[in-house]
Amino acid sequence: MQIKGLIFNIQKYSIHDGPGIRTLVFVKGCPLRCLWCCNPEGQTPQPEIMYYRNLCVSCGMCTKVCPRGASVFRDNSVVYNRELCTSCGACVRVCPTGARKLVGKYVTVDEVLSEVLKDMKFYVRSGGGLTVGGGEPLTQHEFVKELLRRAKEYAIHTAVETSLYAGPHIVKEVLRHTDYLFVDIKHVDPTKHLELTGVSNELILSNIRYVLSESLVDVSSFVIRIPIIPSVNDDYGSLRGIAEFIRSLKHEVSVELLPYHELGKHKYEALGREYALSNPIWKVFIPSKEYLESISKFLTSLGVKLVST
Amino acid sequence: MASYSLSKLVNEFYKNVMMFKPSLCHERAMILTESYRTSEGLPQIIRRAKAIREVLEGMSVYILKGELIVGNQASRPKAAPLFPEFSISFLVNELNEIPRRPFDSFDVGVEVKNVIDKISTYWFGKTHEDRVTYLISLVLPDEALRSFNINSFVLNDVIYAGVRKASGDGHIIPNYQTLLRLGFPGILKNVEDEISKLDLTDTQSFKKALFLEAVRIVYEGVLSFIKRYYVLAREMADGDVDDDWRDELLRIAEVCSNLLIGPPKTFREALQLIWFAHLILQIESNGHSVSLGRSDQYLYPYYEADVREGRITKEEALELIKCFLIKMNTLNKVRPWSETRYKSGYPLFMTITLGGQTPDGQDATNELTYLFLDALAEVKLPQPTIVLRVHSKTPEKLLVHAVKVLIRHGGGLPAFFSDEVIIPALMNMGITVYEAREYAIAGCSEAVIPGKSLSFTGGVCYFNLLKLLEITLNDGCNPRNDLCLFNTTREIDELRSVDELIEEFKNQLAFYTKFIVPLTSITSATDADLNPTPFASSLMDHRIELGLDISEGGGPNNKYSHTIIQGHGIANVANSLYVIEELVFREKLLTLKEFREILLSNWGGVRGKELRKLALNIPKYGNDVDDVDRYAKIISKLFYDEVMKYRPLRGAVFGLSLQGLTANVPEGEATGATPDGRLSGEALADNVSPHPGTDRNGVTAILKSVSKVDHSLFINGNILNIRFHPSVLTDGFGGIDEGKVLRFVKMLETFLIDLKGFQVQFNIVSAEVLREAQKEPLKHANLVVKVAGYSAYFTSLDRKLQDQIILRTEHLL
Ligand code: SF4
Ligand code: SF4
Repeated sequence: MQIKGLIFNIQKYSIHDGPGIRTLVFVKGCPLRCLWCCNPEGQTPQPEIMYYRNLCVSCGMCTKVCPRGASVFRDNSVVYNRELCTSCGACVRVCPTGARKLVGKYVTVDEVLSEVLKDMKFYVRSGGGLTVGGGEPLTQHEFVKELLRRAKEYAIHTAVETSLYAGPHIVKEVLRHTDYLFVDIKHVDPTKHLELTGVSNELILSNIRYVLSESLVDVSSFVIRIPIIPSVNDDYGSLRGIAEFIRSLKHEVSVELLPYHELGKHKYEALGREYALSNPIWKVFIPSKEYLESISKFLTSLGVKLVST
Repeated sequence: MASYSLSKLVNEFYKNVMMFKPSLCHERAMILTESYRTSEGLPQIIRRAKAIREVLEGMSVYILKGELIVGNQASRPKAAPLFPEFSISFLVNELNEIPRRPFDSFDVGVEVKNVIDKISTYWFGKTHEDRVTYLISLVLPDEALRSFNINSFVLNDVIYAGVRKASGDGHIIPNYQTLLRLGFPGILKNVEDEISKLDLTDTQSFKKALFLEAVRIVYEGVLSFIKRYYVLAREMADGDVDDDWRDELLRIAEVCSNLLIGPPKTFREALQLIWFAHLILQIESNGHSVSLGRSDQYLYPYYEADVREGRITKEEALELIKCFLIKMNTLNKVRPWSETRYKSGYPLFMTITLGGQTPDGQDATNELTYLFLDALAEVKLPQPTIVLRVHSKTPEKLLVHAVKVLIRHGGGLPAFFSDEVIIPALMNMGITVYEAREYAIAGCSEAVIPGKSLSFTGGVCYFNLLKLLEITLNDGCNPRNDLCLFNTTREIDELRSVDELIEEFKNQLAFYTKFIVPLTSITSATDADLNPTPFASSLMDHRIELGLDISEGGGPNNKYSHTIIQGHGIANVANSLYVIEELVFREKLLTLKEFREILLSNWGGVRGKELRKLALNIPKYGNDVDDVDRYAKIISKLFYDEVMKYRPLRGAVFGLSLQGLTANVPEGEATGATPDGRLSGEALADNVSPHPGTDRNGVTAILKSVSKVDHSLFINGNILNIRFHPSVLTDGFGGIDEGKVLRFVKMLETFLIDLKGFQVQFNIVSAEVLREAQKEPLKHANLVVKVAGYSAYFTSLDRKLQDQIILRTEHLL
C-alpha cells in the first residue's frame, strides 16, 4: 500500500514559491497557530468543512443528506454544528451554491505526482518545479519525503516551505530530496514566539543552524522569510533581534519579507473560528509601500541581505 | 524637426480624434451612385474603377490639427462611408435604428437620410446582397431553404453565412515591400507597360486589357487624391497657424508631392504611402481584415537610413508611428444589425505583425519592433491589432518588453502567435519554408503570406458545432423549428457509446458541410461579377502580369490562399460528450433519451436541477484532463476532415479556424440546453477558450488542454483568451514585478514553442474594474479589452458579451 498524505490544494503556476513556474502542493496540518495565518484551513490534521454563510441560501439540501444531524434546520435557517460533523462531505456534493467546501483529501504520492508531472514543460522552460508547503510539510514527513524523492527521479527541482518545527532527524530526511528551502522566522524571543504562534522557537532556530552547518541545502538555495505583521512583530527591537540572529549564522543567507495581508481573513469565519488579529488590541494594519521600504532599509543597515524571490 | 513639438502635436491630434463619435458619412454613396448612373452598359470593372476614381476626386479631404500622416476615409474621423453596392436594404431598413442600437451605434445626419432616399431606388435589385440571395434561393433544396433565415443568412441555426452579406472581401495583406520600392507612379508604369505588351493572339487579352485599364483609372484617382492633400496642406500653411504646425504642414505637402512622382525615400514618406494605400483599400471596398503585414520589417530600411543620415531621431519616429496608429482609429465600418451581433465593438480587424523570423530563419527583431510596441503602449487604442510572432530564437528581452506593453496598454495587445506552429502548417499547404517565414496575421488570426495569399473569404461560413450536437441528439431535427434536414441513421436510444454518438455527429457534420460549397462560391462569384477590386489587386503579387482581378482568384496566388471556415463551440462539444460518457454510459444514471428530454426542458424539475449540478461538477476542457480534452481533439479533427473534402470556387483550399469573434453570443441564443450544464440560450465558450468559469486548475492547465487540439490543421487560426488579474504581473503596489514578468514570458514560450499552441492573448484587468465600467460607462469610456481576435472599448460591447468577459475565469495567485 502506498503511503497517503492529507493535502488541501495543488496550485499550478505558482510564482512566489521558488524559482520559475512551480506547482505548489499544500500539506494539511501544522503545529503552529500563527495569529496572522492566511491558510487556516491548513492547520488541523484532518479534513474539515468550510461553510460560507454568505453563499448559503438556506435551501436545506444539506440537512436532508447529513447522516449526523450536524446540519439542521432551525428557525428557517441552517445551523451547522462542527462538533457533530465527521466531514463526510455529503452536504458538499448536494449544496447548490458552493456554500460548503470540504478541505483536505487523502491522496497517494502517485496521484500527486501525476498532477505535478503535467506541467513538466513549464518547469523545464522556466527552471521551476515542485514546492511543498502547507500547513507544515514536516508534519507528514514520510509522505512528503517520498513525494520529493519521486519528483527527483524525474529531475524535477524541489522546494519546501516549512517552519522547521520538527526533530532534526526529520528535517534531515526531508531535505535529502530538497533543492530549495524557505524557512520563516517570526520572532527571536521564545516567549513572544510562543504568544504569536503557539510554540516556542528554540527548535526552529537550532534547526536553521543545523541545516546550514550540515549543508543540508546549498546556502544559495536557502531563504529565510520574515512575515512583517505591523505592530505585532515588527518593532525595531524585534527586527534587530532577527537581524542579529541572521548575522550570527556562519553563512550569508538571503532574506525575504512577507508583508501582512488579510486575504485569508474570511476563511476563519467559514471554519467557525475567530480571527485573533481582528481584536483591536493588536492594532495591526496592512503595510504601505513606504512602510515596507523603511523596514527594508533598517534591516539592510543591519547587514541583512534582502531579496525578493 | 523637434520631437518636443511633435509629441505635442500628436497629442493634440489624439485629442482631436477622440472628440468624434462614430457616425455615417453620405459622400461615398452619393458620388458612387452618381457615377454608376452614368456608366450603365460599360463593363463592370470599368464602372467600378470610374466610380472609385470619382469618389477619390470628389469626397472631402481634411487635415486635422496635429496629424503628421494625412488621409481620411470619410468626411469626419470615425465616420463610416456607405457601400450601397453591397447592400441597400439594410441601410433603408435600419437607418432609424442605427443611432439607437444598444451597441455599435452611429450618428445618422440628415444628409445621410436624404442621400439614401435618393439612391435607394437605383440600387434595389442590383446589389451584392440581392444577387447572393437570388442565387442561394436557386441552389438550396427546398427543405434547406425553409430553414435558411434570409435576414441573417443562417442555415438551420448551424451555418452562418452572413459575414459577406453586405460587405466586400478584404482579408488581404498587400505586398507593401513592392509598393515601397515602386511607389504609386512605379506601379502605374508597370500597368502601362503591360498594356503596351498585350499579346493579341491571347484569347484573354481583352480581359487583361479591361483589368489593366481599370487599374489605370483608379490610379488616376489615387494620384489626384494625394495631390488634393498636397494642395490642402499648402493652403493651410498659408493661413493663420502657429509656427510648429506650419512647418509640419509644409512637410506634409513635401511628402505628398514626393509620393506623386516616385517611391518614398524617408521613413515618414514610407509611412505616409502605406497609410494612403491602406486607406484607399477601405474606400474601394468595405471588406474588413485588410491588414498591414510585417511593418517593422518593410519599414526598417527607411528608418535605419534616416537614423544613419541624421534625418530622424528615435523619438521622432515614435511620434510618427503613434500618429499612424491613431489614424487607424479614424476608420470605421457599419454592418447590418444581424452581422454586428457577430462582431460587436466596431472592429475592422486591421492587424500589424511584429517580430518573427527572416526568410533565412534568423530572428527578425529590430529597433522598429520595439518602437511599434512602445507606440502601442502609449496610445492605448483598440485599433489596430498588434501581434507578435514568437519562435524559439525570439529574444527574451523582446518578450519581456512585450509583456510590459501588455500591462501598459491594458487592452489585450499585443497578442502572441507561434511560428513553430504556423510555419510548418503553411509548409503543409505546399508553401516553401522561405516564404512561410514571411507570414503575417490578417484579421484575427489568419496566417497569410503578404502579397501572395488571397484569403478568399469569399463567403465565410461559421459552423455552430454545438448546435450540430444538439441536432444530433434530436435525431437530426432542430428543436427550434422542428425541421429535420437529415435524419440520423439510428435513433438516439440505439446508441451504445459516445463513439457511436460521434459517428452520428459525423454524419450530420458531413451533411451540413456540403452547404459550404454553394454558400461560399456564390459570394465569391458575385464579387467577381459585381464588385471587383482593381486597386487591391494592384497591390498583390502577380495580378498585374496576369491581368486578373483578385476577385477572380486563379494564378500563382492559389497556392497561398485559403477560404475561411470557422468552427465554434469546441469546448462545449467536448464537455458535453464527456458528461454523456460519464452520466449515461459509465454511471448509467439515465438514458440518452431521458437526457434529451431534460435538455429540452432546459434542466427543468428537481431531477433536471440535480443532473445539472452533476454535469457541472464533471471535469471540463481547460483543466488538463485527458479524458475530456481528447474530445476536443477528435471533434476538431473530424471537422477538418469533412471540410477538406471540398474545394472553394476560386481554386485554393478551405482554411479552417476555431476562432469565433463574438459569434458565441448569438449562436448561444440559437442553441438549447446542452449536456455540459449550459442553459438554453447561454453563450458558447469563446474561440478555443474553456467555457467561462469551468477552468479551475490554473493557467498552465488551460494551456495544456488547448494544446491538445492539433493546431497545425487550422491555418486560419485559433484564439485563446485568458483573463488575468493585474496582480499576476505587478507587485503588491501596482508596480511591475520583474520576476513575475519573466515567469509570464516563460509560460508564453512553453505554450507557443513547446506545447505548439497557435495563439494566446490576455486581458490584464480585474473583474471589479469591468463591473465598475458596466455601472459607470462614461467614466470608463477608454477601457479597452481584447474581445476575440480584436480589441474594442469595453463599454461599446454587447452587454451579454461584457458579462461573458467578466465571467472568464480570472486567474490570480
Ligand atoms: S460533512 Fe457530513 S457530517 Fe458534516 S455537515 Fe456535511 S453531511 Fe453532515
Ligand atoms: S445546501 Fe448549501 S445553500 Fe443549501 S442550506 Fe445547505 S449550505 Fe446552505
